[in-house]
Amino acid sequence: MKILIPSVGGMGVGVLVEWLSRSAMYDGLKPNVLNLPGVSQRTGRTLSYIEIHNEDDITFSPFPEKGKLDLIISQDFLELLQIIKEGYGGNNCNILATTYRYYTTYEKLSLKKDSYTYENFRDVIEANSKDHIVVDIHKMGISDFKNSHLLGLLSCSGYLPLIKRESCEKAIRDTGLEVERNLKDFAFGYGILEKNQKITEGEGVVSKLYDIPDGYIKESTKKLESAYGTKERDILIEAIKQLIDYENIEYAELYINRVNDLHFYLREIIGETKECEELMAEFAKVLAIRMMYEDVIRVAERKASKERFKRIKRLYRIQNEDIFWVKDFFRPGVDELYGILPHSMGKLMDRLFSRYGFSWKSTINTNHVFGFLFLKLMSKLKFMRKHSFRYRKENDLIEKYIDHVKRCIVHGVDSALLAANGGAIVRGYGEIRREMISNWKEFSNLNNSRMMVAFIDHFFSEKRFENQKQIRMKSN
Amino acid sequence: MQNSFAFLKKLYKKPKSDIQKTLAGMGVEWIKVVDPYNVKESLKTIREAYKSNYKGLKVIISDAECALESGRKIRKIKSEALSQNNRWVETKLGVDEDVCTGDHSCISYNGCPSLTVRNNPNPLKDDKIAWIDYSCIGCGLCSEISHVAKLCPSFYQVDRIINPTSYESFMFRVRNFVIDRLVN
Repeated sequence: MKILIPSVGGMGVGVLVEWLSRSAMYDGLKPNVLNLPGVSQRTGRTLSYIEIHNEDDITFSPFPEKGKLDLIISQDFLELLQIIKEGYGGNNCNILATTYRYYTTYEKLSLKKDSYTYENFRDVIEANSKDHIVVDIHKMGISDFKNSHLLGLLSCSGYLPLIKRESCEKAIRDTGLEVERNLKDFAFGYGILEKNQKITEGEGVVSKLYDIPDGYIKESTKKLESAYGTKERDILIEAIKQLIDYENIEYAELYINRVNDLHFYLREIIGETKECEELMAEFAKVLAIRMMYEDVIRVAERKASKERFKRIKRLYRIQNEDIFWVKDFFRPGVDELYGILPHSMGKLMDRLFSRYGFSWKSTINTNHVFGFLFLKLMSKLKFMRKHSFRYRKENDLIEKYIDHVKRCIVHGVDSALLAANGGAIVRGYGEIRREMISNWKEFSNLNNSRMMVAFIDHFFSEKRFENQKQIRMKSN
Repeated sequence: MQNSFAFLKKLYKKPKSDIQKTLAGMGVEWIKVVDPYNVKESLKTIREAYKSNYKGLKVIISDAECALESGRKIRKIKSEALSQNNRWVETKLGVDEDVCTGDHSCISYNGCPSLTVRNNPNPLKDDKIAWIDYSCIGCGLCSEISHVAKLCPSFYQVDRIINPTSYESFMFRVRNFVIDRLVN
């Protein structure tokens, strides 16, 4: 059996190879290992090649041969794609990989969608393998994917039929590295495939109408079913559920009315076309996000939620008997604080304090009683949101956003789609949000599709930060 | 090298020397030493250097051990402590997926390899959000930068206590009991 493990330096491939070769020896097999280490600490590619035979007189190949491998194991998705591109895959080759990948700093800065996803490369992987298992570590709900998880997956996959589970466990024990934890992770990895969870990306929006409370909102939502296509409907239902959670049923009704309003307007101008559906889907998504702006009430609500503590426990694998403390770092600007006050008071405070840019720096121990109580009380101020200064400010911006989309429809569906998409420019907190709003205002003055494309392309790329840095340097 | 290891650290160890003394010996008078993990202090020193009326070479020494190297050392100390059932605090940083808005400003200020991005779990959002992966060694620089630069409230720190004292266990249970009642 010929196995190739492409990886990035610093991922601990050496340990995985050690485990594999030891477990092969425990089962009476003859492993031979060739390591081509790159620069460690995440800068270079490392390759490990293992040949495992059960006969004595075998001449081992000194390097991996393209198209003659039996198995490729990869922790980094991009490395897997590179290996396939170089021709190492083949019809007799199985692939075990994760969707996890290291991003370059430029990729991390960019707001554009990642194109190197399992969804986009599924055909390539299928065409270059006999069978494959690609696991999404985020869907597995763990933050620290390790080689022991990978070995567990490998052991359960059946891709190494000659190596028993017990031998792998013995290899982990005998290597002596964080034995207890690695054995747990091995069992976790094994269990994932045992439960037939072949997890993949791109499952899309899954929503159910029955999750929406009975009454007028459910009736309105039912009416949407006949008016919109499946894609838009799923987005709308998800948005309605999230908006009810964010504020209340009336707020979700306001959302439905806004979406319907644009839909009727569109139907009158361009009729029911595929482009219209695409535009509505984008608009429905962005509008919902804009309506669920992150104020201090929302942040406090999310920070003190039950689901959050469950998620933290799951991510850091904290057992019930373990002790853990969660510390949150807050620094709301003074405008974010007076933003929750009633409009008239907020306006007065805005006149007095907006020019100073004060902020309140605080660290809160969220699972201490007082810290938790403070956040819980903040989240209970939800009733003030509808009458708050920030609410009116955000709603003015939302109306302007809708106007911009409507104005652009006259110039064509392409322009309107860009305008709908451009609404997502507004995001972030404090100063960043103010910067984003002024960017969006600049964008909303455009209606020429070419200029809009150029603006969005620039804004969503890493180049946005180059400008920001220049501005900051000048101001300093 | 003041950090006592060079590129080929295992093969070629240099004796520990003092950059500050070396520079002073070369005639540099304006020398400040800062801890790069203390962002506020570092920024203050940089501003001081910009605004200073001193005419001549100004040197700021950013003096702290490489986070990865110290992480390796800590791993050894941790395994020793745990083998003797001693108390150990494991610190990790995280980003709240439902608080992060995906503006990536934290990344523009921070080159940490553990601070990366992932797909947004919210089906209404297509953008990637910030994410701290398993390689985090809990240095806390990302949260410190986010705090100082007034970026966002998404960052949090989790301190997991292994082999806690009986007082800690008692307090944790009491707090958990109260919080459970408040949540429900």
